[in-house]
This record gives sequence, structure tokens and C-alpha cells, in this order.
Amino acid sequence: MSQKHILMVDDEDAVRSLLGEVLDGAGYRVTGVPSVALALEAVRVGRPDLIITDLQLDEADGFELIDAMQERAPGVPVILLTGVLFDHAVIARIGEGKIAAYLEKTSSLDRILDEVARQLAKTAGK
Amino acid sequence: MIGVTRSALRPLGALAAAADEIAKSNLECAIPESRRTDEVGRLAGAFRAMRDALKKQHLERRWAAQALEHQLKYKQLVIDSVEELVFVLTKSLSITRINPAVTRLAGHDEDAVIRTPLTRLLSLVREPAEAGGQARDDAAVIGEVLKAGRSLSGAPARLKTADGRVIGVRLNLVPLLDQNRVVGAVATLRADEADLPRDGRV
Repeated sequence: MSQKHILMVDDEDAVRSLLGEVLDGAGYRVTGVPSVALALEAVRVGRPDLIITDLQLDEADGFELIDAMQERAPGVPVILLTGVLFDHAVIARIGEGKIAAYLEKTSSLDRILDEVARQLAKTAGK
Repeated sequence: MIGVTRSALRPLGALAAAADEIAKSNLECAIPESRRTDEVGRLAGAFRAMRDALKKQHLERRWAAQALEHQLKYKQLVIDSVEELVFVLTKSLSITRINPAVTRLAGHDEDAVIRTPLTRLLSLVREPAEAGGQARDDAAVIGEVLKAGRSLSGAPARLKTADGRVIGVRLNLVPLLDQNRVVGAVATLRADEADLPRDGRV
């Protein structure tokens, strides 16, 4: 079975590095980028199986990225990792139909890995 | 016989070396693979499982630490960006924390005002009958409000700045409730030009 490719977008080096290490250790191929522009470039080079993105990015927010991804890589599930500046009920409302799942950044790595596996299993069945 | 014993014990030496590395927090240390099905083989498997579990715990701790740091950073950023002057208070109204607006607008340094009672910097503007008739000081008035778990909203007050000027302000005071117990309060002050006293100093 081919290795699943995850595109991770977060402008914090510590998050990209740590989450990248964990996803890599779990057997996924990970591309970590800090910005929307680089995420779009990464999608141009190769369509990922899953996208994990922060909501607060340097030059645009995660929703703009999701809109762009829906055009360029339709059908790729997006997991939103949210920080403290957003109201989760609002995110759920705004993100309905656009995001596959959203998780707080305080979620445990186990919880994140479970969600990643769940989303990839869903797309594998399509 | 001796050669056989040495060969049989060699994996134990490698496992002991791996245990030393784990004790030094090197969780990337190699643990020798073994196809043996005897106790030595099981021991190697148990070591590997222990190292992997420690690695997982270590990653979870690092993740939790960065998440906490992220949360604290942004919560601090939110408080620091508030234009109003923010004072965090104990139940007895001592200042435990201020936001940068307090220093920017009133000149008070954090070091100088921490542990100072708010009422040393701030006085309520009350009706003469109330102020004189009841002869209660501001600390008692605010203390009663807090004790009852109530808030003050837009109360006129005067704030003494670090250089002795007086600024008219509106005071909002909200109790900090932890499981329905008042553990402190947050006072926010908005400068109110209309309330600036004409005579200057307190």
C-alpha cells in the first residue's frame, strides 16, 4: 500500500516540526509548509491525501486556504487545527461542508493521529 | 563452554547499554533485534516496547507544552491589546497584574504597583450624601460588591497617574469566579474626559 501524503500548514516552526515528527513516525509522508502560498505550490507539485492546517496563518487565514484548496484539490479532506482566538461553535458553523474535522491545538497527539487515520480511511473507501 | 556462555550473554550487554542510553534520555537509542524466543529475546522486545512508550510520552509532553505556550501567548496578547487599563486584583483589591495600557496611559510601572491596593491609585466619585453620610471608604464599597459576586459597570472614578495627575475614568469591575467562589476581580478603566476634575490633583 502506498504511503499516504499529508500536507501540513502551520506558521509555527515548533508545531510543524513536532507534528511532522509524529506523523512521520506513524508512517505518513509529510510536507510541512508555513504559508498559504507554499501550500498552494505544494498542491501543484502533488495532490496530498489529507491537509492539516492552522486557522491563523501569516498572510491569510485557514479558511482562505480551504477555499483555494477546494478549487485546486477538490475532495481532499481538511483537518483544521485551531488555536485560542476562535470560537469553536463559530468555526463549526463557518466550516460546515468545507472541513472534514476540526481539532483544538490542545488535543493530544493520540487524538490527532486517530482523526488523521479516520479521515484517510474515509477517503480510501471512496 | 566459556565461548558459548559469552555468546549467549552478548545480547544482555547490548541491552544494558541501551538501558544506560534510555536513562540518559536518549530515546533514539538502538535496541538490538533478536530472533530468539527465549527470555533474552523477550527481554529485548520488552525494552523496545518500553523505549517506544517513553518516546510517545515524551512527544505528548512536548506537544502539550507547546500548546500551552501557544495558548498563554495568545491570551496574553489579547489582554495586552485591550485599550482600556486592565488591573487584575486579589479579593482584597491588591493589584496582581496590569496590562501595558496602564503604563502607557497612566505611567505606572508593573513593579511599582503590583501588590498595591487599587484604591491607593483609584477613588470612586460618589454623591456627597453617600460619600459623607455613610463614611465608608472606597475599599469597603468595592469589597462589598465583590463579596456579593456583583459587578460595577461604568462607575465614575478618578485615577492618580504616576506623575501625580488625575484622570477621570469609568470603572468596570467584574469578580473572578472559580466554581462560584470569588477569587479576585478584574478592573478595567476607560479614560473619561468629561469626568476629568478641573482642580488637578487628588
